[in-house]
Amino acid sequence: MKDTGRGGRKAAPAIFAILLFLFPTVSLASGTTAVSVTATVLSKSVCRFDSKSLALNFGNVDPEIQADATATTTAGFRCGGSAANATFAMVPDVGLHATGGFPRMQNGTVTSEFLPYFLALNPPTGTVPRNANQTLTVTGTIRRSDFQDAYAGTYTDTVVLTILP
Amino acid sequence: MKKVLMAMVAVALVAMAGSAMAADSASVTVSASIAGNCRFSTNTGTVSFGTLDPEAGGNVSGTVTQPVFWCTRGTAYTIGDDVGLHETGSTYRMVHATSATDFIPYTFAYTATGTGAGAGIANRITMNIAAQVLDADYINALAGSYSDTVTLTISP
Repeated sequence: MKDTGRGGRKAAPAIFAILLFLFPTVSLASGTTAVSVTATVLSKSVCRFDSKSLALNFGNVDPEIQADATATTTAGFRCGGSAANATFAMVPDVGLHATGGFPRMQNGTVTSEFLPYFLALNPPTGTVPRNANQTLTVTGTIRRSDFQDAYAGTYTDTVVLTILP
Repeated sequence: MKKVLMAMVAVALVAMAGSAMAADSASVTVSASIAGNCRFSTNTGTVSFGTLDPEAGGNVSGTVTQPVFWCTRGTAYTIGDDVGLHETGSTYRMVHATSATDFIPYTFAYTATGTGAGAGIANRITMNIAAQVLDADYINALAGSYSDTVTLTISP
């Protein structure tokens, strides 16, 4: 697999040179041409969560509470690979019921009822030593203005949290 | 702060777009339960019959300051009361201030009776209590002040 990759990289400039040789006047005839150059540098690190499933439970929220409701959970992760230090980024999606880019939980009984919330990840990105255990803190917030007149019942959502690379 | 964070994530995404294989993901289950509660937001109400004049006669309706409550939206409520402190059977009665054996019966009703649906903390519901003393119940009553206290209970 690795051998094939090296062969491919060597072959590419060779083919380009052959094309130049065969059609030296093509680009000249039309004056100028733009050559798009792109490159992708693969990370030498690989990061993994300790657990594939996390639970962020706000518990029972009383509409009478005079403050925002918050919930916190933590996730362990570590980065390996050939680099001594790994630069990671946490990328959450917006869940299953988002509107306007903001996530919402859905009422389990009355499916037309939603409860907006916010997620904060700490740290969202960073550089950590190879093979060292790290902890991500996930904090959720439901604004008082969003829950005080919410429909009674149980709400859920599922967010996929991706760690790169 | 949020803008900076989003920019950093975007940069990271671009830089690592080519290494989509080298990523891991976890599923975060987010859950909350909105409590189905009912509360009186005005904990006291009053019913005043004023001065009952036996000579004037006629049924007298009380002037009511209504208690107010709210329930979580979608929550069915039930309201009940204890028929006051001096009832006989299901008849409400006020007791004389000094003569403990003298009573004036009265009627006590509210339209927010039984069960109903809450509309959230922003949409308060008024009790709509109506109370009345009948002519026959006070024209021969002992002079003086009478009072009673009715305790209303809302659930859940």
